[in-house]
Amino acid sequence: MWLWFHRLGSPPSFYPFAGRLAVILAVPGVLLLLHGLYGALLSAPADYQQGEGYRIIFVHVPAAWLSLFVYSGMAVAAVIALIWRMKVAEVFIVDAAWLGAGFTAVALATGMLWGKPMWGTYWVWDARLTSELILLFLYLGVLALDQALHDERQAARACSLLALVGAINVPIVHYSVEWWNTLHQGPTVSKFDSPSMDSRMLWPLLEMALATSLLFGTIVLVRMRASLLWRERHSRWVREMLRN
Amino acid sequence: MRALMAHVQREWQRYWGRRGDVIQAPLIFCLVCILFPLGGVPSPDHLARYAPAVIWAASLIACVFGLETLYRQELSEGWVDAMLLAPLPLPLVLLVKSLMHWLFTGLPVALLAWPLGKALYFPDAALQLLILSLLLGTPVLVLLGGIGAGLTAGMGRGGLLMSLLLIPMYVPVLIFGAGVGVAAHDGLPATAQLYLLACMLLAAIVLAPWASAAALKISAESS
Repeated sequence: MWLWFHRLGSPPSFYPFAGRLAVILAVPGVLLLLHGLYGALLSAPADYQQGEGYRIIFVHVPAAWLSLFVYSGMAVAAVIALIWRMKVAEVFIVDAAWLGAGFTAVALATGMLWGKPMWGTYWVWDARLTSELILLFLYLGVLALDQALHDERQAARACSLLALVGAINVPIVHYSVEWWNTLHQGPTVSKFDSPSMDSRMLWPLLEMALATSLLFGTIVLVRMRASLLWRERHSRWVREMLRN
Repeated sequence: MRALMAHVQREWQRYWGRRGDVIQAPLIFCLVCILFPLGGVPSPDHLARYAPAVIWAASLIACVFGLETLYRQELSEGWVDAMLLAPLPLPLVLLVKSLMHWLFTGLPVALLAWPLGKALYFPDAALQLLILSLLLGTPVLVLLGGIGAGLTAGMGRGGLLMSLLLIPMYVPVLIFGAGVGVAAHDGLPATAQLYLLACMLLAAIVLAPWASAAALKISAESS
């Protein structure tokens, strides 16, 4: 197990493995996405209060889940990168941060589009919205730090530390924002009653969430392969692979 | 122990020698506070309502400006390498340095909040609590800021990036710090917020120097 873990951490053996894993994740990901989209857009009934507009949650909720999930993944990779200095983990942090920032932006944008007809306004200073916005800035901070440092390994280690500190900070930000909101304006914003959701709506939602996670895995693996090739461009295994 | 005392003395001399530079952060604090009445409605009601937010936002900005001077010169002078060889553990060195930095940038801000709060028509009893919140909160800002300052110390122009990294992390301190002022202004008890700020301060004293040391080591690796 340890041996396997260490071998996988070295770029020459990770590179082909990631290629195979990307395909393994992509096939069920695409199938689930298509089936989930069919269920979400066609077969699920319209909501009795929100009409057809509620269907945006099939994109919104998976994106919001993934935005938090990706940050936790980055924190785990940060620990691995800082302790074992594993190149694969270092590459993961920055590549995942791009996608995580994208998910956060999608979650915010779809939430705003949904909020306009449902709440009558694009933006409310609700606890969840605000902490998601701060999460976006945390992602952008990691990306900006990576861009600013020219030495790749140094940039990766700096980003690892920042991601780790940020991961400790995310729950603190979340609860403080929630507390601030309840103190100021009280629960004015109604949230979803998730347990009372119809199963014809719940299943497509879960399918979409799983599909998004699988496709995130595929895209991050492809990105990581590209980053590893670029970083290791002077090493022997890359040259040998390109020659063949 | 003697090494520690020597370090404290040296940091004091260093900051005292640079007092002209260091005093810029409290001046920024005053200026930002002055901008709000000029940009808004200068009626006592409005100003008093927004005074906690204004004072806390201004002290956040002043703190980020002040952090420019925390490690940049030290890294270029090779001070960090010297401290890595010193008999004191690096986190302890950085803790002393942060507290000294707070003495010259955070404490003046907390003291200046008194006349500025008056100028914003903030009621006296509430102002005392707001200043207490600044005394508890600004060291947290400096200690957390050490992490951002450490990460960007090696860059030519790291100041902008540092504010981008730090301000999202400062949100909880701002919420509870300004929350003290808001609660006191409304005549509500503010003890919960003050205890939470004190809790953050203790956590920051224990944890932040380690993260700053790690950040500074990363920056020192290549430069």
